[in-house]
Amino acid sequence: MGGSVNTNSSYVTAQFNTALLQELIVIAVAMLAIAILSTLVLRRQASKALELGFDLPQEPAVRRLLRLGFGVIWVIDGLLQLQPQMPIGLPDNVVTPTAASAPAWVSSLVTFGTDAWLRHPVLAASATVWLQLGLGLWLLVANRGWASRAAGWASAVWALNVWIFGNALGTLFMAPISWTTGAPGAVFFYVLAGVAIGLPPMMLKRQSFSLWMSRVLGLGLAYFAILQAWPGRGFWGGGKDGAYPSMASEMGSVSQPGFSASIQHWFQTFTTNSSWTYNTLVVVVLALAAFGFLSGKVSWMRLGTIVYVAMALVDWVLVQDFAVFGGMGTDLNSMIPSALIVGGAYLLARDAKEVVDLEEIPVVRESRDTRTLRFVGAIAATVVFLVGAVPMLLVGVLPGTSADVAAATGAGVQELNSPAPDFTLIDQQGKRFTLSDYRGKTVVLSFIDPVCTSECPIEAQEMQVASQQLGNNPAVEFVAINSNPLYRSPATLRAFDTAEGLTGWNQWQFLTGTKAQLQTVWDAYGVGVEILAGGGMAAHAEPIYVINSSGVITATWTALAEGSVNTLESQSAVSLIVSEVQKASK
Amino acid sequence: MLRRATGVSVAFVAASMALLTSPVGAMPPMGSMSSMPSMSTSAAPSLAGGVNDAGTSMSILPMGHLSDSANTFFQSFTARSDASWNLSTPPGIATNGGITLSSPSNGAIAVLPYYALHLSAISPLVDGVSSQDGEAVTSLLKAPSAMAKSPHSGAFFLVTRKGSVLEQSGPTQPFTTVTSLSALKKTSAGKRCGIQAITGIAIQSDESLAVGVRCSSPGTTGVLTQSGGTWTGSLASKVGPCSVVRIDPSGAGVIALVRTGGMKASLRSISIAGSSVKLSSPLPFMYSTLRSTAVSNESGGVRSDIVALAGTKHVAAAILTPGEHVHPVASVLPLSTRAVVSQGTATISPATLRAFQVSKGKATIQELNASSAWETLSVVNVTIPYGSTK
Repeated sequence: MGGSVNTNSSYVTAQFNTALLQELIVIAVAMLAIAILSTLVLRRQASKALELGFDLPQEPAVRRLLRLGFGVIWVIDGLLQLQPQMPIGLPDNVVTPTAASAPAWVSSLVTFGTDAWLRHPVLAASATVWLQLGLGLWLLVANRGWASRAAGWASAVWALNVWIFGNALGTLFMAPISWTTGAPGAVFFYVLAGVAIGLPPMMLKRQSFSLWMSRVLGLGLAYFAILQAWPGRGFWGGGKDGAYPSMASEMGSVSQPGFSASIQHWFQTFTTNSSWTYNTLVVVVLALAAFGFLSGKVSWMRLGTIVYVAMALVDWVLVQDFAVFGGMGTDLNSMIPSALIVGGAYLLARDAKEVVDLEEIPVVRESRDTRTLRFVGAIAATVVFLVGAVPMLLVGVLPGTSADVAAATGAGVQELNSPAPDFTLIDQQGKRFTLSDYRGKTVVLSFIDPVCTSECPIEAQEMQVASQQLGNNPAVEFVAINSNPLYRSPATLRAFDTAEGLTGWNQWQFLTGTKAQLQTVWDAYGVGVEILAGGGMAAHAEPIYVINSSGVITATWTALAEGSVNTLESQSAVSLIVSEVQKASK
Repeated sequence: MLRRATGVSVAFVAASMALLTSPVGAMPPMGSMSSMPSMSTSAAPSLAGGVNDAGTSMSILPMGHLSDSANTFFQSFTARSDASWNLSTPPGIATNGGITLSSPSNGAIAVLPYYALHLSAISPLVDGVSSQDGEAVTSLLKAPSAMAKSPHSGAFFLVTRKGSVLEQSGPTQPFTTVTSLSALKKTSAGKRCGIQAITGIAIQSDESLAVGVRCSSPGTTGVLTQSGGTWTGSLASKVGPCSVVRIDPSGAGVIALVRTGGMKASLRSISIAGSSVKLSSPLPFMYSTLRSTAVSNESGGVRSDIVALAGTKHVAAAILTPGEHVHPVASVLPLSTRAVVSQGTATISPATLRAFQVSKGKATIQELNASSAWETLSVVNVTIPYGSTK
């Protein structure tokens, strides 16, 4: 059983960077192929002197706004996912705290998502980068046709997934719900935008559609205005315990650039004395915007949109702290997307017609080459998207746990390239073993509980397979230290060897000693051991150290953590051992 | 038709049990037939139960999410004489596979293999407390009487899953094979009973071994005893094919809880001392209704009894004394009752019994009050390490 999770695990970061690089190479190869093909197509078109351009219906303004706006947002989100702490930090520092006060059924959804992510954190994090970058590029490049609509639906599906499993349903079921702090969730607006982009463009011009959308938006804004105005929810009161000062204090305490910290400090001071001023402003703006969209009049909608967008920008700065400067920013938060949605709703109403006449739709002329390049660009963006989407699907269906997450738990305390602390214990036959006697050999040092009911037997098997793959080289010793303070007898170690079929393996040394001797070794190598009550096995960290022939630690990582394991993961664990031993032996 | 027949059987059993156990013959409240648990035909002995030995009592209970074996953790509780019951689960190893124990005062407690664990971890017991130093052996048989320890020589015996009986003469000595299923099959006693499996082990006061077995032939007790290197089987003419559920030392011999019959099996206790064989009357409801068993052994006491626990909608305890009729214990218990164990050094009587009910991590211990009603004695909450092996 592993220890606490290390968000900044250097091993996981290295794995994350490697995964990104590998995926980038795949993308680069695909891009090269696409570039060659598109060049050939363009040359062929030029040689055939085909029609030079096309007159195409103009894209509805609302669609263009949402497509480009959310395209840029997805690109930003994708770039934010490049932060090195994302593989472990996203579920632990962002998603789980968001759902901390959620009802059980919401928590279970979030837990499902975080569990899936944490089973394969590197795969999930790197996939998210490409998935979101791909979505953004796809939306930006593909402006019409099925490719563009498909981008909208892909965006909506991924955003819905994030909203449910990563955003705790936009915190809608957690008190106190407030528009100012992000309800109904940033990605909820991504879903709306994705659906709008995915619909046939002609539908966006229909007045009936526009009317319904205005009403729904107006009711939503009215709901949030009422919630914000409702007494007793903490938004009217000032003092240090008021909702706004508390939020500002919390946001201000996060490490961030000086100017945004200063803004937070000012806002905290301001709302401590006059929360009601800010809340009144919020309520009035939401009410005005709601009235505008419920009125059905475009002029009121325009006014409502202007004040809403202005207020959203103010709130984005004052309450949401720019969303990306403090802590682990994963997106721009709700204000920018919601402003795009409200602006889009206004454009929808402005351009709607009772009867859509195809003849009245303005056309734009697009050259043949531009059209071809857009098509090629859409394919390229789709490739980037798929490089993320396919691994993300695997994250959802692959059982077991990757070695990556284990590496973030209970890492050893010994630094790389430092001398391995020496020790003397006895082996399973009762013979004395001193580590320094093995200078001249490569030693793989692990910590195994002989009566562990989960990973330890598997870890031992992985060691044996690695030894076999190394040709059972007598210059490589696999040394395991007993990590159970209660079951310490050599007989117990021998029973473990017998049960696991390790008895004939000459490179295997399973060591034990007195409780004090073992404790000294555990301390030296950073292995915390805890005895659990109620029928729980000894919990212990599982670092693995590779020590070269000079007695220097050349590699360290953590063996598989809690959770089931599968053949694939065992194979990768074996490969890791083999490769690190080979490096140490050079 | 099959569904209806099952319902009638359940009703019959529930009614029999109620009449048997209620002092005034009052029927306990019954729900609709459809809400009753279906009867299992499994004959696998429950590990839940306990042993009373020289004043130290120990009970084994499954706790946690009982519908999920990965999250069921067996716990042991110990009480000395009339003292309170305390958690005494051996530390350092997940107990999903179950716990079994030999004599609680000076014996051993073992954790059975589960998940990736292929061996059994054993801790010696001293006055009901497990030692800090444990040992591990090959996989132990999953049965209540899989281990035995001599109170005199300290020799320790166990039955493995592969059907071998191993002996360890001292704490640091290696285990050696004493006998095995294949060896017993070749003996005349083994042939006579049509031995199919070794199901338990006990050490008699003269240090000779007794094993409980499963017999395919009728007319034997299911207990084989060793004397001078020869295995002998006791005969019991009225007993059909049988299987020993538990076996413990008793006076000069052993006492066993034996399942007899096929699908419509019943339980009876059998005591064997030399050539003397005594059988209790059978438990008057089918074995398939059995939820758990508890053994209370009075070493050197006036008599030895076995306490059985059975029922469907409610459960009831009954004392099975060899040579006598079944003594029902007044008042039924909730279905969550997992064991009834005797506490104290006096001869087993309803007054010495303690009933253990389980609800996730909470164990409620009850005793019979002066009005012959079960009354809560204490509650022990256990922190269950859910998912520790997943």
